[in-house]
Amino acid sequence: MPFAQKRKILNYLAIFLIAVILACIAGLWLLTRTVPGSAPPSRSEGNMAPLEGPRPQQSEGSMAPLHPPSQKPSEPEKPAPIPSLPSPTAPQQAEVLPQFPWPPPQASARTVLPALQTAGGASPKTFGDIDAVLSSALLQTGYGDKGYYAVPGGFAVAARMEQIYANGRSMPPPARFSLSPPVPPVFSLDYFKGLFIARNGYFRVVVFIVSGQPFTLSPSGPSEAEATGWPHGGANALPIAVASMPLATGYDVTALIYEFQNSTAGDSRKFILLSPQDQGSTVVLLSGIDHLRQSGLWDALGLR
Amino acid sequence: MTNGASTVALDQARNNLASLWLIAAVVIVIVVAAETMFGGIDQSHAQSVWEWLLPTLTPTVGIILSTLSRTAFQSSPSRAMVRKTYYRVAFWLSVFYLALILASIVFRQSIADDTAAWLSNLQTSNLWLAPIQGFVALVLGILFTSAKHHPEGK
Repeated sequence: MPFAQKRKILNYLAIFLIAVILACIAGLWLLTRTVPGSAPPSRSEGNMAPLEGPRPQQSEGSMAPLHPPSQKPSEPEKPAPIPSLPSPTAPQQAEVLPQFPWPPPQASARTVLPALQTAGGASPKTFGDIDAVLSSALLQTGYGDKGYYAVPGGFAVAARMEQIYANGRSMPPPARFSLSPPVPPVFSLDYFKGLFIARNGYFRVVVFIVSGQPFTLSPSGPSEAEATGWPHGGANALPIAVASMPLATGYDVTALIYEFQNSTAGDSRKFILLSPQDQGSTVVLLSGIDHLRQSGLWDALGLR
Repeated sequence: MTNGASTVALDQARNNLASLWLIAAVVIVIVVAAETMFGGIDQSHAQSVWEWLLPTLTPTVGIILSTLSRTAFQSSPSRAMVRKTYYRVAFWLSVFYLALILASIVFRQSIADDTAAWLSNLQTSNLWLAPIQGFVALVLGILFTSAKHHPEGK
């Protein structure tokens, strides 16, 4: 082939390549400008709260605080004294179970579960019965590790941090328990898209608090390291002394959801707690029930 | 414009290499600019990425453009010839070097988890990119700055 012809072909190929790249970039740009409501629940990157630092005020709405009418929400939170469990074995329990931060750190979502039932369909009578229901649900849904903590009037169980999709569904292993967003297959559309648009990772820690005492959340949220450490920092099982305690009337099982986000655009080791407290944030937060449904815990707990 | 099978016209060789380098540079710059604009690269890391990228391209592109500018007003094409072997070495060395740069950018998700880690890898990549760039600059520098004319057919 003559030399000049080779050069011509090379030039055409190059022009074609540039045109394809420009077209792809334009396509991506159009994709990112989807009409709100036409896409599945996506998370935009708005003003998200940093992991540390005080939160200026409590949010309203789904995360309304559980203050009694006499208590002013604006009053600074004092570290509440942790009352012992209504049982003579409480001192032993306090020795075995580490204390969960109290009041609990600010969560991304919170929901009080409807009444739980044991595997036999009966109402739980003791803390042990409740623990059996929760443990079974956590096992069924693939949460390996969990840690037990003491809370005023009951106990808390924290599940392992998992990676989730933007809609709250748990990722399949091994990405589920990885702290980095999974890399799409090379030469796939997602890989190409990830080149230009940052891949966000979403992570969730579920904490169940079983207690007969109402509580509010602390204004500040936990750091990623703190939340990741909860399953390992707690006791591996509920002590028999606690498990055998009868449930107080009016007890509640509250699920606290701590959702974090990181991004490949910068430093993916920097996690941000998604919190409803962020004023002006454009992040679409999932409700506690959505999280529990998407994780499979809702069904595993026998809730309908 | 070829002399037998062993030489190629210098103008022709320069044009081909200039096309290769300019097109590759445009593609690379467009890709990185798009990554910066669309948020693929965090704003806080964008400057570091460009600080790594520009020195890998600008010296060679600068030599090429200055030569093209210098020869743009010559009334007659140069009769100088260059050995095809030498031209091929220059061409494929350029392709290899530019492909390394493009691959470092396009396959960054396979190289590192995030931009911060990728930047760290880019700094390390200078260990092998710098010597290759040196060879490329040497070969292209001679090809583009040599003003020696050989009579055709000699």
